[in-house]
Amino acid sequence: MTEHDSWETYSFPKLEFQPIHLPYAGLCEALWERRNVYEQTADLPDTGEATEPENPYRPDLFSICGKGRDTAVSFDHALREVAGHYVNHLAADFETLTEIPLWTLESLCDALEESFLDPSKEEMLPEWPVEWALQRFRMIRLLRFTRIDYQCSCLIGSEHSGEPMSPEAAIEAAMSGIAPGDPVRNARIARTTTTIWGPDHGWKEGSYCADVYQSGNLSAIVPEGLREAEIRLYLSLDSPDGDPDSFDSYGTGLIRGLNVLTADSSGNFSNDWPLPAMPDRTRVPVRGTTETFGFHAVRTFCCADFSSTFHFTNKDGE
Amino acid sequence: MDMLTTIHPLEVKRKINELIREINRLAPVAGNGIAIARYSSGTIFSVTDAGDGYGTASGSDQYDGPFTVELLQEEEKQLVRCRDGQDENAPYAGYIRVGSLLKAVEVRSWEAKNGIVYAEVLYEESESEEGSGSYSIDLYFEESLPEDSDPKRWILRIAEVSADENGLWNISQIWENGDIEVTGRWLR
Repeated sequence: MTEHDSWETYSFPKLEFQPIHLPYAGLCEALWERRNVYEQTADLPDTGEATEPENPYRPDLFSICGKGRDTAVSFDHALREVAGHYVNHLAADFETLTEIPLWTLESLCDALEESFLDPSKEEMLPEWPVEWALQRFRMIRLLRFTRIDYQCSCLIGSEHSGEPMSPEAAIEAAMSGIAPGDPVRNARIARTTTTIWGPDHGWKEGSYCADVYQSGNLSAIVPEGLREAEIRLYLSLDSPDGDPDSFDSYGTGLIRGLNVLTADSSGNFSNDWPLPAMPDRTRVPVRGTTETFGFHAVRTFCCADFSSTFHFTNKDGE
Repeated sequence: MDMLTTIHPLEVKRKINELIREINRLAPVAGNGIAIARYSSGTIFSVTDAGDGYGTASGSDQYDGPFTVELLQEEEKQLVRCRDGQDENAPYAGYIRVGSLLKAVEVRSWEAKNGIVYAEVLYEESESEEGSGSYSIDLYFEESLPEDSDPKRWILRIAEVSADENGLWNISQIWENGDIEVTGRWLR
């Protein structure tokens, strides 16, 4: 692929009666471009030479002759794998979504309002159907938001002095004098507090202990070359023990379930998460119990719209 | 000189025809299990299977399915004709499938010459609307194949026609697989 490549270079969308090789190579290059964005190449040995990783999808021109159906099945397998690294940015009904909506071949077709042309289930006639290729062309163009890193600071504190104090005072004491640590890449996102009835730890009646973990000062790490891109953080949250009653947002406004936060092009999220923070409501452990409350991210997907960096995109960047 | 002047011109013509017939009688002809290929460097005789697949008459290896090319004498002219070898009176030489499009191709005949009989499928994109182009599908007989590199032109050689040093026409049937299906293209 060269920097001047585009869908048009490979005859898209005017495919009809084109020889198979050029358009199929275009699909492979486009898929490789989508994969290259998130593919980890950092572990490759540094040979000191600037080498471009080889496109694993690039077809052997002779081997695919006469194997249209097998080739389509194989391509769809690769496309499904790549699509699963991109979020369905069109799914905006966040109140009903419970999972981070990563693309699947089926959801891509739903977004396109098309029936999925599945070469593994149907006898495709002809061997190289234009409709299949154009559907993949439209699917790949929907792959825009993929994972980037984020960072946040973490604050960890505890109060186990045994001094008589209220649960709220124990929490404040746990956080007093503790500064948030340096930002940590892709650190666990959570704000949880465990309050403990003091005698459980051998302390006097009327004392409480507390363990606190809070993450905050969240920001996305914007890759070089990505300017003015839309950045989102998908957070699927739950309470620490899965009990809805122990969910606490700590003033962040987050809900139990799926949350979508947006950041500016520098990576700063609109939702400010200062540290330290107090829970919305302190649960008081009764005799002989502990109370753990707050939230933690079951799944986190920080992503950015890379479409401005793609060669294989719409002319208008969509 | 006296001898020459006493021979009637019709007698000369008769003698020449006799010579031609004698030459033809001596010329080898392909038969069951024997294939003959004539080249400028010589003639090769090959033993082949007398297959009974589609497009071949039982007991002969001579192809006679769709798109059979043959010589035809019509009045004073030698013609090359492409027809369905299974049906002398069929109006179509055979079918060409292009994806979901099935085209019956009419029988064609041309005056004999050195050249190639070929099928051509040409797709023309509509200027106005994507995917609404049209196909032209037909048989042609030309001295050589088109040499342009139009990716939307598909060509299949069906037979080669050539004359030997005696002016006798020889047909090499290249396509011997029945009706034709276009492959290796993106189709609807």
